[in-house]
Amino acid sequence: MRRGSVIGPLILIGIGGLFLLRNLWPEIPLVDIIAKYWPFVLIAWGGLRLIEILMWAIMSKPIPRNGISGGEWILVFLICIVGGSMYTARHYTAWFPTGRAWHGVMMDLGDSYDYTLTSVEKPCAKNCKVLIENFRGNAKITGSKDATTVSAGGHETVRSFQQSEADKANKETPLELIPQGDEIIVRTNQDRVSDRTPATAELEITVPIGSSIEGHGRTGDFDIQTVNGAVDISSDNAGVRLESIGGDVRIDLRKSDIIRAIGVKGSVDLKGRGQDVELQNIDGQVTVAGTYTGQIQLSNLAKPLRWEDTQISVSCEKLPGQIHMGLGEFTADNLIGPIRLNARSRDIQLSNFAQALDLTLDRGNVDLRPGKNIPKIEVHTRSGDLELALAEGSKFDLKASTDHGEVHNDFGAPLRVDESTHGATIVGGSGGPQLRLETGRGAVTVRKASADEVTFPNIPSQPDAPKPPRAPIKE
Amino acid sequence: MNDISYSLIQAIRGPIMLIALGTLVAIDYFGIYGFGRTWPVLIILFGLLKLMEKVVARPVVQDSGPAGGSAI
Repeated sequence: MRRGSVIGPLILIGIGGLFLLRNLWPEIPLVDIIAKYWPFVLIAWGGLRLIEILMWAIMSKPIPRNGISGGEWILVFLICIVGGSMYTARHYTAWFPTGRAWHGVMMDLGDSYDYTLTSVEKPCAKNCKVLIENFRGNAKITGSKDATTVSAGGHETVRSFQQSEADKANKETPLELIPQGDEIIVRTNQDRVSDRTPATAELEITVPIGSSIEGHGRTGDFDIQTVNGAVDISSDNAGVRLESIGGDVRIDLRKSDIIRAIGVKGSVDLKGRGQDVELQNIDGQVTVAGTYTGQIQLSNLAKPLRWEDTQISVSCEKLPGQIHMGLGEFTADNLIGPIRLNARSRDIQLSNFAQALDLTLDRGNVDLRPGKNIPKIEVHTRSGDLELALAEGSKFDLKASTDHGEVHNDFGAPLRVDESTHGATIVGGSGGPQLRLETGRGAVTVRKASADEVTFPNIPSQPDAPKPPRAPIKE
Repeated sequence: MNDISYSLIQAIRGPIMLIALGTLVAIDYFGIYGFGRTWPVLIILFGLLKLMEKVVARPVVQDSGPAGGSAI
């Protein structure tokens, strides 16, 4: 510590005070407090040193060259490492932008207290509707063949500065099942408590397999499995994971980190904003209207796909293969058209597609490998390279041109190159579907396809393993 | 006067960076903006403080020893 500075003694007093506090009042959640409030030690340290330096300057005492010396920076670094680790360990989140833990300033003040919710059960019809009202927290809903009742249980976390307040909030928020006609309402009563003591719940709900589910959440995840009825979820902020759903699925979220649906017999309708989307084995039509900025993985869709995004719109009649969309890229394999694809800025790779392709791009490279049966293809891009791999001996009528750029005819006869002032055109064929490719600026390459390159290697063969639900914060 | 302000700005750089670091981490913990997004503020702040040093520095920069070097 610097000579004449008060920081060193203050740090000693602080450490001693903390230990004393721990010895005298062991029930104070000291670790939680330190884990959350340690950044204020840095602020106080900096503030005090700033005041000291200004005082020294006013009193015309010599000012040190560095306000914080090298040794002190090492200490700051150690505090950051220890404090950051404690925080991460207590809150299961990190500094990374993907961390989705905070829902508002109020949600994060105080400490968290955990309570077990009394389990409740109500008889219901085999095809009843289960409505989850205005819910904050995570819900896992499972359909059971043998169940003739709806049963719910789980635990609740209340954030509060005092245990007594948390206890009171817990008493005010019992878990209830309310029958109303054919419906069973799952009510957590979280609205009864103020924002000073926000309550979130981790619910496990078992329903008869024929039930349909309607969930309205404010924040938190929905995991729904083995339900034969329809599923309708709307939330301000949620991750939704669905598996083996018999009815139609409708999801409307203002924000989401993941939407996953695997094995849906009905249609899937997505709206809103979010990051990752994963749809697999969907028997009904898939309609997506929204903004999804993460990794998109679609595979085995039996009915038409209509994807309308601010960045890209895609439609096809069937997808036995898969589509992968990431930042600036679109890769698809084994689609059945007619395929329409419209995007602003994206690199497109398409392999194994049947029936007509109509592709319009503002900017981006296009790589097409249609496979053995070449369909009608129409491609326009303002800027980007075009590459087309055609199977030898297939029938087509090609005209591929660039306004500014080179052309490469690696296919050979019957194609020929017509050079113009800035660009060039490859034309020719043996009669067959029309292939019309145009780029404003970029190279055009037409080549022979070989048997081992029909698909693109960067399509993941299997989706990632599902993320486990977020662990509750334990005291 | 320049000497004093120069060494003063140089001296307060550390504390100000420390306060900024603490504030950004606290902002992250209270869920307003993540540190993963706000960290460039530290670089900007450091750059600004360096810039201020340059502005008040004498035209001929000598080895910046402790304040009082002007007595030479």
